[in-house]
Amino acid sequence: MAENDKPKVHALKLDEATGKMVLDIDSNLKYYSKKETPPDISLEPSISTKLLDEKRIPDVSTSGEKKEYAENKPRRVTIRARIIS
Amino acid sequence: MIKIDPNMGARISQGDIYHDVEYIESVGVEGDILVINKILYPYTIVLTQDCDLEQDYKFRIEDRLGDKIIPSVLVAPFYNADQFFLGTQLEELGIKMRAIQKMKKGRPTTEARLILNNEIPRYHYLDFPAESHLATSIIDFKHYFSLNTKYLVNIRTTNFVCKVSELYREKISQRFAAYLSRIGLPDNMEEG
Repeated sequence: MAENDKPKVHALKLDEATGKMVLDIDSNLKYYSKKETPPDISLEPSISTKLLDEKRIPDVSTSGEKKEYAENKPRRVTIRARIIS
Repeated sequence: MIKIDPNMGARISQGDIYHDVEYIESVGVEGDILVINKILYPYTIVLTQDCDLEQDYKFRIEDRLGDKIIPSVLVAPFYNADQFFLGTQLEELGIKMRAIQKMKKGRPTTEARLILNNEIPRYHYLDFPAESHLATSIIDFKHYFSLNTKYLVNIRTTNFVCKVSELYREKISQRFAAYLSRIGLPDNMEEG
């Protein structure tokens, strides 16, 4: 069977937690190449993939000045002071 | 995407975000040298209930009896989401976190999808609007800590970034409370 002739069906699977039949997203996706428009899978959670598609985003300070990437991570600072009695 | 309020209020509020917050990790004496270790968190969000913060503010400015004064404010750090997924958000502290695969075959992995949808109790995903100049971030509720209230009052004007708007902050607060009150069960339950 040619790729384009494969049936565009929504396969179901048993959700053992609820005992209900739910959409088998992974199985369904096997039928669709990346060039095709994916079917409207209403059970799939709506998510934002913007972050996932972007390159690593350097953070920016409130003044608009870009910071180095590493500067945005928690870091330890040690202070040593002589005690004068 | 969440909503934010860039205007700083008259007092500390739940949902306030502050940058470069210092957490005192340890204080010790080595001979005649005082050694103070502190951790500098790039960003933290206030989790203390807003009514408590309001009462604290009123009692402080009116110099009333101290039974409504709160000595510390609960906050949680949040980390750049990209660093979080790479597991490098605490590498400056010498801590390597577990990396979480974001994409597989051009699609978000199940775990990444759960995090982005706030379906994992420990984490809260924050997609800030552009005007905040904040990168998409993730709160790690397990890393909560407290700050001295006076310290936070002192740095408030210089370190305030923005405030997470109502409803969005309540959602964070509710999810944090649920996470904090979870009940850990032993791994090996006895049969019977």
